[in-house]
Amino acid sequence: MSFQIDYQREVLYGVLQRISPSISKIKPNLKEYWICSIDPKNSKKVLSLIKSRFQRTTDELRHLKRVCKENEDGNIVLSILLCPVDGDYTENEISDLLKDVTQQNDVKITKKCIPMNKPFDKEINLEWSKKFWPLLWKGNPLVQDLNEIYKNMNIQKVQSYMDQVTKLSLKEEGENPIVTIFVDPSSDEIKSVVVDKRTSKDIIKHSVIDGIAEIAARELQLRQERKIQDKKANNYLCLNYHVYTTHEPCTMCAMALVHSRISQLVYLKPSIKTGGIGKNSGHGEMIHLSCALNWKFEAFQYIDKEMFVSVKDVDSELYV
Amino acid sequence: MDKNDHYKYMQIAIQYGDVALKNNEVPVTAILVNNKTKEVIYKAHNMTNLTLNGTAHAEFEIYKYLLNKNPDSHLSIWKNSTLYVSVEPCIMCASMLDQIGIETIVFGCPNERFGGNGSVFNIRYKSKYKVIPGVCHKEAISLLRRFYINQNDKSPTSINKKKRTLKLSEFPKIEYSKFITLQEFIDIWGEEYKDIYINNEFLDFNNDNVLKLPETNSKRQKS
Repeated sequence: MSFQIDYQREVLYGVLQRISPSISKIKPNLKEYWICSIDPKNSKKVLSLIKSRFQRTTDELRHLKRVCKENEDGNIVLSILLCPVDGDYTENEISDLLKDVTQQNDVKITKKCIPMNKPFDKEINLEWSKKFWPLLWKGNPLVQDLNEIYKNMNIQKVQSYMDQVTKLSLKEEGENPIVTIFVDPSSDEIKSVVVDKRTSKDIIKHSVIDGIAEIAARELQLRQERKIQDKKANNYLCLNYHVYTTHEPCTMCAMALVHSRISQLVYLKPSIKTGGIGKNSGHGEMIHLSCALNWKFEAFQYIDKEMFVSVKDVDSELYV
Repeated sequence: MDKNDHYKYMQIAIQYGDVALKNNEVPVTAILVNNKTKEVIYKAHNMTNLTLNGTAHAEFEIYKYLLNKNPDSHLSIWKNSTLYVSVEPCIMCASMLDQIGIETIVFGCPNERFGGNGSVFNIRYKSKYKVIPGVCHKEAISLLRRFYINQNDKSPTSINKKKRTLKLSEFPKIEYSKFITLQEFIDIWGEEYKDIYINNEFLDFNNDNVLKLPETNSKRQKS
């Protein structure tokens, strides 16, 4: 499968250019964690406490060692990652929980900043391990990321949706033939097709904002008609949706997609001056990755020359 | 707006938080005030739960209202107004305000995870609007806490509520330099207040809505 993945350029199937930061620019994404230092004889008890209380931290700590052996004046002490400082438990509560399981009053807990992302280089891995907290190295995560994305990518679908936005764009006679399609990949259902309809009076009526609003309004109406009062009903309506669009969204729209929790964006034309996604667009914000502690999504530029030429450029100052 | 207006109008915004709480919405509130007449044009709060729309932040609610009410002149209204918002606008809202061109944004507490006026990015590319951070910083945080404490009490996994109240009197410091330069701070409040910026003190106001002098200054005066 490897010839369909260009690991150097991060291109899949020769047409999907992944938008990710340059490897050398990766900085640790630090989060404060509570850490306890315990006698090794208590390790089982504390680990079972983690299983029962802090289970949901397992995923985000997969790249780190959970337990770290340290030598304190000749005594072996275990440092263990517990849970985020801004999480569900206060210092007192954690202290009480530890007291309960270890039957000791003097379990030391401290705060420490640990990296929530993985470096793409073995040397930096070592450097961060020394500086922050021991990281595991299971091979280059970039390669793993790309393999994972490749495995889940249905390229025929991507091509067909990009064909659709392109065709719709060609039909548009207005000044801004920007077209966006929202798709629920779990059912392969189109949830919204939007053409940019901004006016000089409503200048933020961008296609992404309109699409999100349309999906919300429709669902709201449905729920009101059915009078559903399901408190567990998911309010993140675009959760894990895929979005296809002709022109790279602006910072506002890119962030609207983060708030809406989509999982993938594909765009055809970069917006060099105003875009919020591309490495070299706008102010280089790469919004899809900028609030990674809360949500991030994968973004790709679709590199197809014919399509690129056929879709009309918009004014370079325009916020798409 | 005059610098002695900011506290008063931010109070109005924060008080509107009661409405947000009643509606079970995260209490981020905003009001738009006309710079000249000082009329409160509109009050809004975050509406993401009620609308099922993750972009329905208070700023967008004001935009929708104004567009509807004054379709021809709403953009010029923004240009002559000050937005008082309890929490630093997120990246999306900061970019929206940058695109439509507002005159001034006054905010209460920082938005560490999503903030677009300095916490994550500082989005003042197009309209160079003025930013005044930290007015009612503590009140804005307290308002959010009221919501989250409620939520936790409802959750079945909630543990030991009594201990939570301990945290309520503590507030994280605000780092002014993330949002504005020292010169900008002095331009807003005056030279005599610059130690507040340097030492990251809270903005405290007296009964006439006038900013109190920095602690370091007042101590010096007493001795």
